[in-house]
Amino acid sequence: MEKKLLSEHYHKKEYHTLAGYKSFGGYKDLESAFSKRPEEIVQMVKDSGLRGRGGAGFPTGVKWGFLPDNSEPRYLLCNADEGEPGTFKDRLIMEKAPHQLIEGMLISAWGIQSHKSYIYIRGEYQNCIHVMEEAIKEAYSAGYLGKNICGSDFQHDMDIYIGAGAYICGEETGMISSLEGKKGQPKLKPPFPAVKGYLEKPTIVNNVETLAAVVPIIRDGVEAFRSIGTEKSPGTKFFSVSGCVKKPGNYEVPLGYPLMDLIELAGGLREGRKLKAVIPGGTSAPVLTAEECEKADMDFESLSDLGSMLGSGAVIVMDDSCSMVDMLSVIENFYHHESCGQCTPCREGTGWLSKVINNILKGQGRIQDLNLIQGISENMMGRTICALSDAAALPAISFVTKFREEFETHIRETLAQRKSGALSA
Amino acid sequence: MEGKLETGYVEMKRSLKSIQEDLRLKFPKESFTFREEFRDYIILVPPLSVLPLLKHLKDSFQFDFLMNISGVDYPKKEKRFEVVYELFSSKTALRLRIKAAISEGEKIPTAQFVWKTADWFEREIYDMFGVEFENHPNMKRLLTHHQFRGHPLRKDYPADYQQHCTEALPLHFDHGVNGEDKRDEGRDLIPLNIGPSHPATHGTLRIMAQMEGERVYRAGVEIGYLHRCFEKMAETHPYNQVIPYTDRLNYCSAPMNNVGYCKTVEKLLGVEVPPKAQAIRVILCELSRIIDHIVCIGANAVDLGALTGFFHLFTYREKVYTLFEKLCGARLTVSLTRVGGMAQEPPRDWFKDVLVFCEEMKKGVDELELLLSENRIWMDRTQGIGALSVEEAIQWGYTGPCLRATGMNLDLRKADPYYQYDELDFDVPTGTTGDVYDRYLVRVMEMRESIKIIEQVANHIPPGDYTVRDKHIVLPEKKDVYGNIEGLMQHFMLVMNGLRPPKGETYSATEAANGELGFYLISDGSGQPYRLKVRPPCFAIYQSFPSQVKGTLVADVISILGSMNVIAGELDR
Amino acid sequence: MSKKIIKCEINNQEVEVPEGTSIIEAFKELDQSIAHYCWHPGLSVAGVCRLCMVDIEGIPKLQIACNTEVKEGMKISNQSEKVKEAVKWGLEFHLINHPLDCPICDQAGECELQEQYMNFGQYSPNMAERKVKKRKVVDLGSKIVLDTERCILCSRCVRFTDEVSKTHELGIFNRGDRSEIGIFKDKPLENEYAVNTVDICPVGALTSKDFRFRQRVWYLKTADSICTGCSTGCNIKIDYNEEGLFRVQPRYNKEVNGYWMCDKGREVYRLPNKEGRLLEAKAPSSYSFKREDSLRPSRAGGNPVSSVEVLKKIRELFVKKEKAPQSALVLTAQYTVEEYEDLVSFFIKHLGTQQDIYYWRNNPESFDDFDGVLLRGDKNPNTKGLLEVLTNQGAIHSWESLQNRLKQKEIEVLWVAGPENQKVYPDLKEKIDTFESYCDNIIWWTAHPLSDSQKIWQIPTKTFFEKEGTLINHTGRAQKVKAVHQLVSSALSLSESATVLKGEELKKQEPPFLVTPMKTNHFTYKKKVL
Repeated sequence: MEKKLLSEHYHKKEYHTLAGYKSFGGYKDLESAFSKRPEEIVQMVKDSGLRGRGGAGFPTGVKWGFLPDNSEPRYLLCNADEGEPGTFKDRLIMEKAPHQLIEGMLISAWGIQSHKSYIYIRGEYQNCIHVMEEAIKEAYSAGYLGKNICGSDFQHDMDIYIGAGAYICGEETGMISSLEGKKGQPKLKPPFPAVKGYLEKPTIVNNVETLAAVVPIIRDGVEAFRSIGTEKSPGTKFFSVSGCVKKPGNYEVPLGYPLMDLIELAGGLREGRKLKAVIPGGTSAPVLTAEECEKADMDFESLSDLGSMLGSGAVIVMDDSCSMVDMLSVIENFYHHESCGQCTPCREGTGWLSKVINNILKGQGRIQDLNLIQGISENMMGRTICALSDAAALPAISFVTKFREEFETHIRETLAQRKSGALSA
Repeated sequence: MEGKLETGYVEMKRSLKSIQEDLRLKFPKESFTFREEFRDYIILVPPLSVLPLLKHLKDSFQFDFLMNISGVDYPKKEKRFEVVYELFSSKTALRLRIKAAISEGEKIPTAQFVWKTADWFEREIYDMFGVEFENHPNMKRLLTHHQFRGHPLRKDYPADYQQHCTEALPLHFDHGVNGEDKRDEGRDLIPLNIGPSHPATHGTLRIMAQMEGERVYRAGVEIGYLHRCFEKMAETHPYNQVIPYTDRLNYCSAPMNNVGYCKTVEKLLGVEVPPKAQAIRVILCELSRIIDHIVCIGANAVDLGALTGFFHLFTYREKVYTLFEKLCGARLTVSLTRVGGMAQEPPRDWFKDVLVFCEEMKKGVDELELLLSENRIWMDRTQGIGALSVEEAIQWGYTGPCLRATGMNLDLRKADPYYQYDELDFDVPTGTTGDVYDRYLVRVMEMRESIKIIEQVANHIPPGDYTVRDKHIVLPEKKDVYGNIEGLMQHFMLVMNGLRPPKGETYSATEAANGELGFYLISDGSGQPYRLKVRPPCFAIYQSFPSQVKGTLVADVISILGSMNVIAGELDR
Repeated sequence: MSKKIIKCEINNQEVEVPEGTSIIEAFKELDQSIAHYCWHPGLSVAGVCRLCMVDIEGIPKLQIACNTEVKEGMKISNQSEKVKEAVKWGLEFHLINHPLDCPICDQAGECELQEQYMNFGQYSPNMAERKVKKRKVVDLGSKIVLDTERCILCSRCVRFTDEVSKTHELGIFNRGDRSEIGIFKDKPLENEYAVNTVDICPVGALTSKDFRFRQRVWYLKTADSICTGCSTGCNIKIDYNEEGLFRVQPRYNKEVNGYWMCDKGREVYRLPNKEGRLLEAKAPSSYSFKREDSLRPSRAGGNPVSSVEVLKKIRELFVKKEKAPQSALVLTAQYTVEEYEDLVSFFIKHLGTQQDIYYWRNNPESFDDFDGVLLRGDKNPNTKGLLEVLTNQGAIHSWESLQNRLKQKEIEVLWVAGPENQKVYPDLKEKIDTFESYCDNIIWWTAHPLSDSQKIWQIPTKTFFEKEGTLINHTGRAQKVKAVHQLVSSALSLSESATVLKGEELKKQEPPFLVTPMKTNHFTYKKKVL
């Protein structure tokens, strides 16, 4: 069994309570963190090579290093919006080990000298919200939050902020706008949040899993953390495996774990089915064909070499019972629904893509629509304020390129059906 | 095709270079400026050097034709007016433009003694601009009436300011004679006014004659009865809206005017119409040539009493009208071309219909020849009448069938080809004496040649688009205008702003039915032409009429007039 | 503190700009064209249209010019193929849901979509799906109508109501391609500067109720002028043609009004229009006068009474006497400085003294009001100018003294230069009654008719559109209005009236009448100088 850095005790019933957490060594690392200077914490995280677990994979320590050298109030925002379709790992952490998250956030807050943090939880996660609220209450009572934490003169306050059903509020500046009480629309970058974020003050936004991962770094040390995973992608990661597998769920494995083994870990495919495609990192990641899956290891480099990305680690497995046309239409409808509408390429492009693909699905597509989809997607990418546009475009390009034959067959067959009257127009 | 144009252009540049060097040697003290614009060569000269330069170019460089003199008004320039001479060499097909800047009140010597054709062109400039030509024997108004005040083509003359004429002038002749002259003492002269409403003058032409018995002692003409200020209207309308006005220039062969004008604007835009459009334009031009000759010959014959030919011929004119109607809905004033190509795609079987017409027309021409060519009366009435020499014709600026009848075989389709005429197989008929009979024969043979051309082109129509698709020039198809927002926006922008050629000027000529139809176009970068001057072929020819009819019988006056094919729409604009 | 000057290269042209300038501002400096919709120099940067893409040497990804600062030595280009492709697709994205409204949309002729499509786009479209349907003809208040389908969501109007008028009426509702501009319940767009959003809207989404469907913009010419609504003196441009004046829009002036103007000032276009003007001089009915020489033949309704003739009669009756009748001159601050100088000097020389000149103030209590943006309480354009002239002549006197003299019937002839903008003089009727009851001969210069009084001689005056002169605004800045086009042929400026009253010959007027009687398309006529 692989070493589990985070989820070793998740199956323990009382782990979500403060007492239960502490009985398994919880909050010890916080105390040890206070004995180090804040710069040391930042350096440790930098040296550990920890990369953002929310999707972008940006080195966390480097992000923390962007904070300007001044004494302005700094904010730490925990991104628990978990909007990426296929991802359900943060929910696990918050429900099973809320205090792990709190401890990770406190260590990070100490490192970046932040006295206020918010956990932005998506509104649909009612249970998580309830559990986190309880945990924070417990932490306040036990003196782990508020003034003079653990007897030091460090003060920190933590609040929960509930989202209201917008994927775009999972984008860091979208989340900041939402927190400020405005429409959850991403802001122009530059200026970057680390310089001018929440209320125009320096802000660090990190994913739940990233912040929770700070705990094992402090607990086990940089070397131990680096010994797991690969050189460029150290540590473990939760992979939310779903789709046509026998045991869908969250699996914490070291980075670099082969994809096929991960699928086996999740119970493997159903009887008599063959693997067709896998989306390795949430619907924003380009799809991998079955051959590509054979070569894929679950880390940032291997997947990006194959033209895809690790993203949030949501692995969606598709077998030969799935229609790629149907899958793509589901994905594009999602992005069409979730685009915030600020910038034109995304607002109009997602709508257009969705319409074209729905038409193909309905049986009213044309062969040239496939080139059109590629044209639209290529020109949506890289031209917008945030990456939702790229997230909508990448799957469209990858599906239509890698499964072109299936799309063409679908178009031809449905056209024939329409002509013969079998399909209503 | 491009290669040929290029080599022709390179040769032209070489010869022009040699002209430039020669002029520098011959006129060392003069301040000539040499310029090139849109592949035209221009020399700017001070007004007093114009005459010697023209003479020199005529004598030493074989620029035998003075095709056109225009005036232009530039109110914001220091020297307000510009007089522009357009020279042409029939031997080398070179064109040269001489420009002289004149301030208000300044005079420029007349070029009449170098070329007789300058006479009316200069009178027109005086009429339209007020520029006086020194030593011009008859500096009077030409196109506007004698009660007119002001000079209409000046920029400060409002385009809608009408002035009415309340009485006609009595008989008047050129060169200061006004019905009475001391040299006439003792002669029994009867004044005779022919026109402007006269069944034998085709169009509103006024001929004034003094008869001594049956012979014309002296003749004069008055033109301008059909002057509709075409050139002023061109300055106030966007480029494509000028095309219906061009229809009404030579209304007997309307498509040729359309083609000539569009060709000029396209030259300024630097656009070449697609091969299919060129082919259609060639067919239309040749059809127009046929029907123009039909009118000329038919009317000429009718005046002399041969009615049958007229009726027979006009059946064929009706057939061509039907062809035009199939293309655009109109028979006479067609506006078939647009800048950039044709107005629309011809209907499916149009080319087949054209070929059917060609077959029928061949029979028609044969019939006509049967009726007239060896008809005793016709030959008696037309042979030896109105003859003139080649030199005389060139002096007067004759072009077209009237020039070719004198023996000179200048045809722009061969000399300076356009629209792939040089790849077609046809002949250019020429005459010997230039009399009315020769002109008739030349026209008949030209009709046969035109049929040949049409058959060649209609059997090999190149595939492709009927217009260029540049969005700043050509309107979008209706399915795009009503079907998507981009087509609608493009349509709006083109109609509101007009198509805009770059700033500059150019002269472009085609071989129309009557001769060289030239357009001198100046653009100021806006949506309307700054100046559009038409060089009408019959303008130069009709100038010579008073001297041609001197001493002939009255009956021959009509004969000569008919053979010149004077269309008032073109003459007066 | 002066900013550092930075050198950079745009499309192979060098330019120097102060530090902190964005690339798009540098483009404007050089007068180079760049596609953009959401950027406006008077508003904050939004960066939502994504059209102002530029290629910067050394940066592989295209950047937007409005949010990128110029750095020393930057080489910027918007002519590369990459940029042109990006702009073409950006335009296509803007247009895929745009309704085919050009024939019924007011913005045609000044629409940024049309112009930028022809300049930067010129592609053949690929969209074959159904367009998104949204609300049309949404009433936003008393002044503006919204068409949400045409809106390209550039957010200029929202930023305007947030940053300039600070009234926050507009917002963007819904998300994705269902986004719409809208107002909040019970809070219509009624601030004093609302119509500026119509000016800045690049498409026909926001239209002014006053101007809607009245005239196509290619039939309009534009002339620069100064607003005469209040003492701010905003710089304006007026759209007009042979049929009259149609619309007023602000002109940029850094010191006076920036990019904006108030809505009340937009009403000044009604003042010169013929409907409502005094078309000919009116005199007490016992006199009759010659009619004018027609300037254009065949005028239906006969030619107007010649104002010059009427003034000559007035001169005969009230000026050219051995003993001049006791006269008083009342001035409103709505004329130009030159007119004041001429009329006041004539009065002092021939009719009275400095003691007899009075300044009619319409609202002294609210004179110094200021709403913080542009609107001022002094509703006259030339108060400072009038006061300057009067001070130079030593002629400032209180209104009470006039009232007293009137009551004592001391004044035989009252000369009044009445207000051009009668709406801001609510006491006008009252004053007319007062003057009439105490004075038998009143000569009133006015642009609009007053009343049918038998005692008042009314002379039609030229409005600010028809004469040249100087107006001095509240800070003392002198600004000029020019004579653009004369609508009423018998109107005379105060200077011209003074000339006639002095007994001199008026220089033959060559009013700048427009040449064609029919409206013409002025767009194709935009000529360059040869």
